[in-house]
Amino acid sequence: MKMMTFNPANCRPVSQTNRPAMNIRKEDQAIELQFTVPGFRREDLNIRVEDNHLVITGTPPAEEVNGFVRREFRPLAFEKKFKLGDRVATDAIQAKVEDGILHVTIGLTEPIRREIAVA
Amino acid sequence: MKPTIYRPFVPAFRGLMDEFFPKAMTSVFGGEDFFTTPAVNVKDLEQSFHLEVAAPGLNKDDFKIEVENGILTVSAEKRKSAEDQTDNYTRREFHFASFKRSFQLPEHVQEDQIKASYADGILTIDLPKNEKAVAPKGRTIEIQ
Repeated sequence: MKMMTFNPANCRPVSQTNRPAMNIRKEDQAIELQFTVPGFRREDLNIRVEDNHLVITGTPPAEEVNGFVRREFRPLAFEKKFKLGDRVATDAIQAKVEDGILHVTIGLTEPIRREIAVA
Repeated sequence: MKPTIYRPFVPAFRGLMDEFFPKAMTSVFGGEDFFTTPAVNVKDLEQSFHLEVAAPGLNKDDFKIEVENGILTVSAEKRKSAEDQTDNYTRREFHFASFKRSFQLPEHVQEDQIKASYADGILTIDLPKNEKAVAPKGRTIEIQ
């Protein structure tokens, strides 16, 4: 098991950003996007197609702010926008949130292949 | 103004831990150390302490929580699933790493009553205080 090492040389200031970390996985017929969204529930996330863009927004739940003696994280509102390519089947976009990871699967259509006959 | 009485949850590896998290707050979305050093929130409530660990993408069985000599240690190790073995990642900003973080518990925590739950990628540990600590904070001293 890889343990965390308490080596000050490895320390970096961790900045605050309202950009979830993202993984992209590509398969033949689909692209899967994964985002880290701990603290967001299903109803706090919104995924829509707008103007040929995929728009993902997160609105964190209201929370009790009292009593913190140490605070290293806080769910922040975010918005991510992606331009959709020609091969994206907009009706084949699926999303699920599981254990603080949002998975968005985008179905792809076959690449359009045209043969142009030489007249 | 509320006077500072004690510092609960002083990390066991103090000086070093404090440098891991300087004053700036770690975003829940993570920096580069996000998955190797999960961010932690601590609440001091009336009846208990509340510890929250941001650890998305894990399963409740991946966590191990231990208390020994007044030190609470939270560790996690992602069990490899079949899904992880198929790579095909074209961009990778996060991955699942194992982690371990320790905390010195205040004396008045009921160690046998500690409970934990995992939801929405956040591990929540509830540490009840013993009755003495729950007693009212203010006290009037009668003049005899």
